[in-house]
Amino acid sequence: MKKHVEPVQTSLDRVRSVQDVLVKAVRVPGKNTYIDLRFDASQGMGVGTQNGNPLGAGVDYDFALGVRAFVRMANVTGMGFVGQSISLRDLDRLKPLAVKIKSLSIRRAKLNAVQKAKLKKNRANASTVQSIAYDEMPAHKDLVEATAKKPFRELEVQDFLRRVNSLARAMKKQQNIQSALIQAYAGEGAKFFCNSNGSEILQVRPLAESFVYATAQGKGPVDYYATLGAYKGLEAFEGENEFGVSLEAFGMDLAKGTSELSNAPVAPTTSKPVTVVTNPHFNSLMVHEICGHPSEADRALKRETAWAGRAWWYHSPQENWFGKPVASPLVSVFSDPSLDGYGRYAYDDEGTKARKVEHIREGVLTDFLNSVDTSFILGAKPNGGMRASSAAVVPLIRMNNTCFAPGEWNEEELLRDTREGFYIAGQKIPSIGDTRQNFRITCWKVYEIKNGELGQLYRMGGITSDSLDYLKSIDAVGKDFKLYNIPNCGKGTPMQTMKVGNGAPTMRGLARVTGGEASL
Amino acid sequence: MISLKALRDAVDDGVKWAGRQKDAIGVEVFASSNVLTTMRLGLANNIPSNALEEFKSLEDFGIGVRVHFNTGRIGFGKESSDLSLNAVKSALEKARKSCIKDPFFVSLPQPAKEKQAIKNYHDPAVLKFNDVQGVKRAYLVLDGALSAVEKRSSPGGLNMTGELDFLGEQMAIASTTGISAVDQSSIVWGHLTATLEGEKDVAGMHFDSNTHIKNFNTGIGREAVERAFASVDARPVETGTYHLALGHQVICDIFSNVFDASLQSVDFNASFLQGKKGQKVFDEAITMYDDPHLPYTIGSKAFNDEGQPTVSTPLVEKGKLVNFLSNDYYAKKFAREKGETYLGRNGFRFGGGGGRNYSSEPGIHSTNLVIQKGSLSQKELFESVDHGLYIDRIWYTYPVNGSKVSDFTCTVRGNSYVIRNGERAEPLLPNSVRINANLERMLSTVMGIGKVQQPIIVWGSEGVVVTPEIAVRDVHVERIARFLM
Repeated sequence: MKKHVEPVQTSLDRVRSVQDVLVKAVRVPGKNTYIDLRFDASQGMGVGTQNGNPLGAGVDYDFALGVRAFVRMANVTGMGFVGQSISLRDLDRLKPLAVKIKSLSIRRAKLNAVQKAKLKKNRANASTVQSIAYDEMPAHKDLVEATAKKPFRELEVQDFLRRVNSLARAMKKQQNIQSALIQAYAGEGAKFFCNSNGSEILQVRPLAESFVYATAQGKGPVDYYATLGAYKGLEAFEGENEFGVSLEAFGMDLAKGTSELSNAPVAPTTSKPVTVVTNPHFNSLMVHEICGHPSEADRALKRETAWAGRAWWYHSPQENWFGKPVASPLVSVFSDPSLDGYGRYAYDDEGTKARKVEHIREGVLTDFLNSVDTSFILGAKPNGGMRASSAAVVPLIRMNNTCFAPGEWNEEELLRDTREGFYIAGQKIPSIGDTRQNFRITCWKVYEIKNGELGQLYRMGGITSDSLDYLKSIDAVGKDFKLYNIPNCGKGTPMQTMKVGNGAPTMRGLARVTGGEASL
Repeated sequence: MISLKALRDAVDDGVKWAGRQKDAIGVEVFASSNVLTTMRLGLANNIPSNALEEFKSLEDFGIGVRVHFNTGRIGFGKESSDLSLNAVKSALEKARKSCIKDPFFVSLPQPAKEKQAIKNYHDPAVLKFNDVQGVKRAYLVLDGALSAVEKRSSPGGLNMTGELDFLGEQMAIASTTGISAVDQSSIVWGHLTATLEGEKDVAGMHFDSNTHIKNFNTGIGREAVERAFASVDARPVETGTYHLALGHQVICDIFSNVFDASLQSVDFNASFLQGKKGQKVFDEAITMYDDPHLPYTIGSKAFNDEGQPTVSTPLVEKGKLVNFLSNDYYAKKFAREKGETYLGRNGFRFGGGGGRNYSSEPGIHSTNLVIQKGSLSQKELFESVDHGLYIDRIWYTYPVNGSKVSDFTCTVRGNSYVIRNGERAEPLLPNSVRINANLERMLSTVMGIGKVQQPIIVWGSEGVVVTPEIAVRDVHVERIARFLM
């Protein structure tokens, strides 16, 4: 007897099955009311292992729905949002649910607007409370589809688990490695956006990603983790990723490097700035923290003061650093959603067509990533910076693929040109001041540079500086641009973990080197 | 919000059906329902802004099924937004397809001998949240803040940001091992940061938390503004070593980000506390424990998410590390592999942003992580410091050298002062210094502990820390640029 095989429904199939219902739900929102609706469908498989012993495995799907409403009333605009997870069986009865969520979000927006108008009327310091015209935004209809060469469905979850188990076991065998942890995921996601202006945008893509973590104890303790991934199918684990190596080669390199580090001395803490040559992987975290975040317009406009912070280069529409030097003329910074990183997308979660934005051009501050709302305030056109980690939560301004632009130096010549200093390699953990004006960022490995060559290896090192001093000190920028993926950028309440891309070449500047805070 | 009865019926019916599966030795069905309503506030007097910027909610409910199969394998599956028997069947089928052979898995959790210690500790008004009342509270916070501003000279650049969160959580669990429990909890949390950019960018912050709406202080906005104005004429200090009196938020932030007493982290060799059980890790003035039963405290829980009554767990006694927090899995693993005994009562399924999450297996989380209070008033605490700094708000605190050591760094954001001759002197300029320190070393020289405890939660974290203010000796503080323009 032939085995019955259920037809495979892709995430795209599932969105298409409900698309018309969702579009109808947002039409005719009511007077002075704008509505947008987002629906996500995702499916995939995940596995986890510690030292070659399985921790867990799963094959699953998820759906989420969210509706955002803006109601204009008495020169103010009130916002309301309702988001929730959706079941598989809900897909067959989505219309009443979408209409209910829409009604709740409109009610919230109205309640908000009524109170807002009172506050604006009664308090002089609330005269800045604004009205926003979302209904003037252009409509788009599009399907943007990225496909996997090797879809995740070609792999059985137990085979996936065996693969990561085998790698973790091999990592654990390295000298001084105490533990090796691997979590891996392969799947796909589709998201649909529609609004009361007539937009209907469907974006689909695969995802393969692995988090690899090792702890070691040699002469001293050390731990390190990194992520390999791409918006691709299983081919991402075979080398089609930002590191250009297989998952196995990536994991073994991390284990061997961490093992080697455990016998290295702790990095020295310098009392004054010294020459530091920073590699592309480290610089991708640097550009994320000291250029990417302060280039998000919601931070600049003080809306993130209590959580993610502000931007030192923007005080008010009258007082800011636009058109002024904030870095060495060798430094240019941009965000480009068309690059092949975790920040790749065609439309943001407000339905705005995304485009490249230059934040710093040859050392001069030029532009921010924005939303519809913040673009009005900045007198700019919306550039598509709004993303949400799920349809069940509101979009926020998030960097996409934010990068230091490449320069003209060959990286080997740059190193040979450095008589003494430190080479800072691999990203670890950042701590940044409220306005991003000062940083301490640690790295995987620190090497001493003497006469243009790498010398002593150190663990637990990093660099610290005021951001302006550091950016202005850059005197060499390499040609070796690389784009990396950062899977866990946090922002928002509740916290949204966002995937972003960050890229950079090798660079040289001045900063203090940091080491350990205790004798170890 | 889904009713508690619906959750209970779902797990009871689910276990009844799943327990009849021939290939299952044991089955556990967990159901939860959470609604988080968040009101995010943002108002600036020199930039167009939105006052109540976001008025939003996030709702989830569903079922998670853990199955111990007769092959020895263990599996987990879940279904979202569905409490029907079909959802249980579907989740069990997912568990069956992706079950694993975990050599360290012993058995599903069994009922515990302790009785439920706290009852009816949630606020029904949070579980049936009223949008009309909620939005009024949000604007009350803003109006209070603006009223306080109007009593002062008009600031050149005022901005105020903060939030009010109302989280209702419910869970039910039943298993073939005899576990049967339901729990309801509620969290009300709010904070506001007021910054006077026209006055050297000084800032004041205030917060409040409670399990019940009626006890929540909507005066946090007014208090934040008053704290900001109290910081006018703030000055920086130079790089050096200072005695510090650490405020409630500071202790909470450091412990939330650096102190990891989870047995899972120990098992992975990823905690600086590994191998230190029975050893002195802090000054003998420090005693810490996990207390899930504190009244009106937002980390309190009657049952863990494995269906057992919660219990208090000592962690540090007079500076000596005496225990780790564990769930049932790691407690059994350590008992079998290493002959070590742990209570295993901190198995929770906390999700990002709060709530008890059906979609994951139990991890290890603290409830109310309590640092025992001392006997000093704040005045006496400052006298113990004599010359130093009072730090009451820090920023971006991270263990930058990894989890195997307790090094951390952060900047000072506001609410802070110089202490001179045992008294609070001039305000410390916000964002003008960075602290680089090591937690073990810092808490090895305690100068005094305050007698007032406060529960605080850190942004993006689920853990609640209930702490007094603590004075410590000789911490490295570094002058940094603090410009906003």
